[in-house]
Amino acid sequence: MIAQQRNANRANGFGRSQQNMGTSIRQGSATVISYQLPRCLQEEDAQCPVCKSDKYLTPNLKLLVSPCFHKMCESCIDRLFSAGPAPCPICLQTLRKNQFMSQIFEDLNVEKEVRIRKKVSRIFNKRPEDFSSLRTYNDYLEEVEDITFNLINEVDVAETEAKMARYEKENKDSIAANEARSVNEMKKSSYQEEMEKQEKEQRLADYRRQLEEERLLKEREKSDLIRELATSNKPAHAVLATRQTSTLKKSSALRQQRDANAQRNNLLPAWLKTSIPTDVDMREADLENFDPLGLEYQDPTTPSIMTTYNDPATDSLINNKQTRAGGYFPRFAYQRALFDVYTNMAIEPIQDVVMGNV
Amino acid sequence: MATTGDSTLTGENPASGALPLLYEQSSQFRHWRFSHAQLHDIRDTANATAVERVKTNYDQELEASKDSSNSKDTLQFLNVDEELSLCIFYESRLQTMCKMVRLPDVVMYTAVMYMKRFFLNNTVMDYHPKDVLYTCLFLATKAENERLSIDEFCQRLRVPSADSVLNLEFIVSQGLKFEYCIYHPYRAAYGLYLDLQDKSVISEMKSLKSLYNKAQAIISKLVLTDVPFIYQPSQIALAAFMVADSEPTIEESINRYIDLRFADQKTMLITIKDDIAGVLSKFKLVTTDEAKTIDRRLRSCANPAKNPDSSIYKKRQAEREKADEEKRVKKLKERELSRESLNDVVVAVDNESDD
Repeated sequence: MIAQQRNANRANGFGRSQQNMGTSIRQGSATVISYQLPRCLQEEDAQCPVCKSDKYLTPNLKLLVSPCFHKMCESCIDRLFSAGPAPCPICLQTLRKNQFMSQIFEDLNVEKEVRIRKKVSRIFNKRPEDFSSLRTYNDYLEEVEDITFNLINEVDVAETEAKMARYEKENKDSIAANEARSVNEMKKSSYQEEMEKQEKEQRLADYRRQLEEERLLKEREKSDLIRELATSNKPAHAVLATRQTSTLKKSSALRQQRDANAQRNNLLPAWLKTSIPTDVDMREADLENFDPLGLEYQDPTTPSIMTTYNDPATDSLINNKQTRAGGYFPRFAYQRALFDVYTNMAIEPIQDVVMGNV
Repeated sequence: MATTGDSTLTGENPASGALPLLYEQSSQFRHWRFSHAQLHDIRDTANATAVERVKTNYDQELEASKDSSNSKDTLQFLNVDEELSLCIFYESRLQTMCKMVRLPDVVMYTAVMYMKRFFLNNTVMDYHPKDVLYTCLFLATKAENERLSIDEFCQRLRVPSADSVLNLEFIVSQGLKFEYCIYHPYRAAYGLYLDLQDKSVISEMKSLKSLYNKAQAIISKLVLTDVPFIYQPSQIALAAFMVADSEPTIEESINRYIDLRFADQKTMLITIKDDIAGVLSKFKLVTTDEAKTIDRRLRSCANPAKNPDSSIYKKRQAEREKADEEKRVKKLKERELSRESLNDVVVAVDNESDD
């Protein structure tokens, strides 16, 4: 009995932390909810902890999870909550019917963690670009992780909740902006996906059409050839030769047309392009402007290099077939050495500022 | 700075005169160029702050160890000159070491420069040069494309443990501000050797070759001084050629060469040569005995916070470990708590079903 009491208290606290969470999960899980637990997982020996009915007796038993992470079957939920909000039969937290959701993960701990993470990441949705340095971003991540850990493991729940609420209030604008940004990105990527799919289909259709055209063309050619052979009075090989060149021309024209079609650009429409520039775009722009060979410097001017110097270090290279095959000549070594002479000979040493004379 | 170079070097090609030379964008040119006075100031302030730091650490050490046998009044900290001569001693050791294991001169030069750069902002009271030396050499082998595996390196140089080399690697790199590229005077000297043959400035090959060899030896000696921080590699090389032989014919032909190629900078180059010659004449290697006396002093005034045997080190280490341990225990407890609460939930569910 004591254990039960204690657990009820704990579960109450637990439930409180989840209370304002139900709505957020429902928003976030819109995409996930269609994913049902694999049959095998539900089938094994699923039993409703409230009414004890199991899969064996009620084959269409479906367990749903409450915001306080307790399982119940649908009939129990109907029975308990159809008259409005009622306490959870296990932890006594007030629940509503529409707060129940189907379970995604078999392990309730995992389920809980995923939901909490979803909730936290909705509020703490800053990106690396929002920070001045990697260090501050890492600190931020660390803090978010601490909050998540606290919520999952129920350490200082009230305090953490308050912290989150405060943060949400303070950063309302940036949260909204980041959310808008991610929505925009999602829209863009789904649009691109759609476009790619369409393009693929188009290409397939084009290819089929081309095959058909070519087949028709060939048939026509054949019948033409036979007709010509039958009617004209030129020698057969002359007729064949002229025919061949004309077919070649035609097929090359066809290929050109195909290439032109392929090159038809798959540019994004203007409305997507002019929308908020994403960070990925901007970084790509940077990359495009980056030219590894565009270093701004010049070689020092050296006097003309002699063809040969008396130099024991490169003597062995002069008539060495192997190095010459690799394109190496002693003059490269000479040039580099002379560059080194002329590149910094004229640099004046730093002069000391004499303080005494002023 | 760039304009002085452009006026003579790009005379034939004024269109591209706006671009700087590659060397002028190097970290050596931008960050490791000083004047005599600047070097002096940097070393003075570094020494003063180091002494201050070590002093406070020493107080704490005395407090921690409750040992009043050596009071801090007897403590004599190293001054700038002593620090410098200890460094020079170990730098010359580094040179002999390189010769012994037949590492090329460029590796030696780079390693010595790393040591110089490192001890410009660090003090021997924190890091003993005999440890830093190996790390600098190891870094230099990597930077100059003479890579040895750490095991091979330790075996060839008879370093007792690879850890002592590797532990300092990051610290030394930090001291170098992660700027590993060193421009050497050796290639400039080679270029001069070639260029002196042009227009038959020096037509007698035998004397030119001996001049070149002497110049290389002088460059290896100059790296122990402050000259590489002050003058540019090619200037050092030219000065080495000028100082190498006092024979009047050679002196005259090098003067002719300067007139031919660097007429505009002649006065500057002569002053540089005079300065370098002065440094060379004043410079003498630090003997083992001198180094030993300094080292004995250093042993008493080394920063106790870096000495694993000192009680302050132990104390700090213990504090660090304690903090880590506390953190770990706290995390563990939280995890246990969460598991317990889950167990309670499970138990409650079971109880309910029993009712």
